[in-house]
Amino acid sequence: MLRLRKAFAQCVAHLDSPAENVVFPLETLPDGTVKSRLMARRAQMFMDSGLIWGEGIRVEQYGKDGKVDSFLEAENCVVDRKTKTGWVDGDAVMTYGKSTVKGRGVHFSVDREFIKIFSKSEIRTAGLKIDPAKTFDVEGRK
Amino acid sequence: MTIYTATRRFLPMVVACVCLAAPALDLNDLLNPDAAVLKKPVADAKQAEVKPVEVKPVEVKPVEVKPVEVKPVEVKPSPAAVSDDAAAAAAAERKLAEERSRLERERAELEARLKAAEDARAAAAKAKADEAARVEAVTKKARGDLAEAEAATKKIRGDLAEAQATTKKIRGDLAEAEAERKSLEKERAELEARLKAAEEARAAAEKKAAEAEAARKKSEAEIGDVAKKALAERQAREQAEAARRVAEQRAESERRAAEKAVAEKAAAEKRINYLMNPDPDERADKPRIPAAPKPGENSASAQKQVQKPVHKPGEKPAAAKPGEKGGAGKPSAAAVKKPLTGREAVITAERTDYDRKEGVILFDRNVHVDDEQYQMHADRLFVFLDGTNDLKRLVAIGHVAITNEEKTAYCARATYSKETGKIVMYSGNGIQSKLSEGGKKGSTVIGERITFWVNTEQVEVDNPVISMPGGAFKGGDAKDLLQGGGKSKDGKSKGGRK
Repeated sequence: MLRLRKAFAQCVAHLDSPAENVVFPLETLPDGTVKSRLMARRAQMFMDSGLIWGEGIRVEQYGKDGKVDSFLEAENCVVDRKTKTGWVDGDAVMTYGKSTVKGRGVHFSVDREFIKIFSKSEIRTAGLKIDPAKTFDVEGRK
Repeated sequence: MTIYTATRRFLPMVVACVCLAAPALDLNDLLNPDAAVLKKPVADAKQAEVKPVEVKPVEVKPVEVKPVEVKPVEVKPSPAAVSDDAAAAAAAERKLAEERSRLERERAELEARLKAAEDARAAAAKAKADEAARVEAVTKKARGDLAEAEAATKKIRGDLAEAQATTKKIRGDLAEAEAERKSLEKERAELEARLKAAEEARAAAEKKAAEAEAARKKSEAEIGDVAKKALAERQAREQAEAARRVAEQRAESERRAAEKAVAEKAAAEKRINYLMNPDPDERADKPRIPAAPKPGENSASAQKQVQKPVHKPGEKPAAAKPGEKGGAGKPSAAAVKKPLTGREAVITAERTDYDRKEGVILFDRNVHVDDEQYQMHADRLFVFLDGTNDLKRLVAIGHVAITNEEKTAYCARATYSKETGKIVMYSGNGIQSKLSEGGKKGSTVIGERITFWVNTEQVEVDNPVISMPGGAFKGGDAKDLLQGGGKSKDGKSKGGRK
């Protein structure tokens, strides 16, 4: 995490005409339709370190009907493609159904499947009931 | 050495002169006298003129020789002719003998001359070789002397150049020393001038320092006077401040005493009102008073704790949130039951870790769950999920406070298992598990461990201490001792050691 935080600062210091309004698919379904897509207001790839820096990030995940199922918005982000880990230095909001997760300073790993929110964490979800008769679902589904 | 040098130098010239003076002689003959001797006879050497003979190459043609056929002739001599021929033959033989002896003499003479010439040639060659060796030795010696002389000359020239350079350098050093001497003299003069100026400046500075010292002493005396005045003023101000503070404290204590008197009067009025009508539901137009204090100080302090939930400094108490019900001293939730709006629950914490692989969510520091039906505070909250991301278990640790519409619970640690539908509250770290009923009964249960089954709303308490409002048994049922309509797990009265 500290490595990525340091790398984020270095990336910001070495920015050199990043690409603007970047859009590219992340995942596709077997029939070829896009499952998730990343959009960034500005982005730059650092070939020497394998890091990708982005600003104004929005990752959308689509349902089978093509509508936005969930999305993630982050002020900025740096992703290490080798370790598949990333760090959001600013605010980040993840929305999935009726659940929303907010935080500032987020460390995540795709391989190890964890998210750490380091400050101002807030989760809004519906159906959080301590009641066995009702289904508790952190993803907000009832 | 000079002679040999001259000889060596003028020898070719002499040879050339000799060749010009005696054109008959060849240079090769001079250089090789043996060959000349061999060419000419010694007797004719001075008279004979040797002219160059032009020899033309003769073309030799092969002669064809034909064999001649010789036929034998048969000769028949006569007697007279034989005698004449014998005489003639004798004469011819004599002539031939004479001729032969003459030729032999000539040959002997020639051989003698040849021998003499060879001897002379050998002597001349020997003399020439000796002379050449001598000349070679002399030349070699002369060359050595010359090389030696040249080396000596070269060395002398080098010494001369070195001496010239040394002389030049000495002259340069001399000039430099002269310049340095002049510079030092100039510097000395400047230093003397500066020393003189410094002396004058020192004298002036000493004079100024004496004046400044006098001025400083004067100002110190003035400052001392001002400081004394300021000290006196500060002491006077402090005395006035102390007097003001004493007056304020007195006024504050009087105000507190007045407030206390008012509060005591209000409490007495409430107590009177309660005693006049103990059932709070009967007093619809009046605020519900706190649960009736039981006799003894412990119950009063316990009730006080119930009204003051455990929370960190700066944290808003859960029971004090607007719109929240169920706290002691609040209006009964049953009386003003709100319909559920289905609003979302909000979980806030300083830090959140979500490990999807392990199925664990950790909320750390100042955890607050704000649900429509309950509020929860804790230092740390673990949420364990099963494979389908459904809730499996909850563990809240540290200053756990849970409140819903009617009940309020406090404990050091709490767990909830969805499978069993059981909430267990544990005591620890100086915090006792406590379950308060904020409804019409207003009872409080304190124990080491409180287990609550959500489905059946049964409660099990270890080492219980139960506080109930006065008159709880008035027209009531034993099953209403605790939660509204609740009952113990075994169907008997609630409370008591499991």
